Amino acid sequence: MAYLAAAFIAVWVIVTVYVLYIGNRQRQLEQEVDILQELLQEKKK
Amino acid sequence: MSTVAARPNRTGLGSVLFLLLTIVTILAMATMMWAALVYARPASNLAGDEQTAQRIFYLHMGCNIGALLVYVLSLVGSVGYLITRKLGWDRLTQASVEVGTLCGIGTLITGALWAKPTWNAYWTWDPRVTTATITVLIYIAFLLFRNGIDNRQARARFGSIYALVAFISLPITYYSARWFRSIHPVIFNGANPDSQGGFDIGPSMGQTISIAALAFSLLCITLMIYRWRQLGLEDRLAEIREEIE
Repeated sequence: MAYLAAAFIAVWVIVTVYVLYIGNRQRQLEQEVDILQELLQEKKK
Repeated sequence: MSTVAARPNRTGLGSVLFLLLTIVTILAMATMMWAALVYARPASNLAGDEQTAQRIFYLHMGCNIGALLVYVLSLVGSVGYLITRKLGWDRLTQASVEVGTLCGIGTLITGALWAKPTWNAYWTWDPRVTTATITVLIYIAFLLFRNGIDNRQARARFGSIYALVAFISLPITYYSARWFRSIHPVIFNGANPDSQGGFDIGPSMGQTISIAALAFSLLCITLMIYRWRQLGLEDRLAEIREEIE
């Protein structure tokens, strides 16, 4: 039973870590979009 | 400069379809868990820990099929890039290899956890286990080497050629248990008389394998699309940064 539980936990940990990585990267990119938009607005002024 | 509005359009039809795909994937994974743990009948020729651990097979097989699917997509992406030189194809290769490598690692871990009660060892130098590990290492090297190249087009060219060559390791892994003497069970397209821990597939087992294959395929495709879109945003931002500088 321990091996079966360990296998399920391992798979879900792998999936969760990757989803968190994608989510974190998305937040970083959205922050970068905001910074670039501010930069462009300053340039227009 | 309107390209700065690079945030994905969250209200578009594509986003709605993608949200539906995500929901279907979550439901399919939940169904896979139920089928693997409850619905599938235990293997009648096994007993004790070995019989319980046999249910790991559904995860093992699911990860394996998911990895195979996205590695095929990485091949499509690399051929597409080499023909058209469009970066969208390269992003497909990158996203596919990332997800495929995760599934490959999942296959190795679940295989090791299934092997312990069956073969009495987490690891053996069995041809199938060894070739599968080499395949995963080849794709991990792809990610490390590729991300070390700064020039975008050079990175895409390197990645496409590497992914094309790396794909050869997949048929070698598949046929290794047939070409060489192996204790790894061969479930589909033949049998391995030397296998240890093999079993016959009954109707509920066959249905569970189908559910697991579908669920992991959906999971891999969903993750791959998420990452593919994200890589598109990364590329657009890099272009805008260059324009501003």
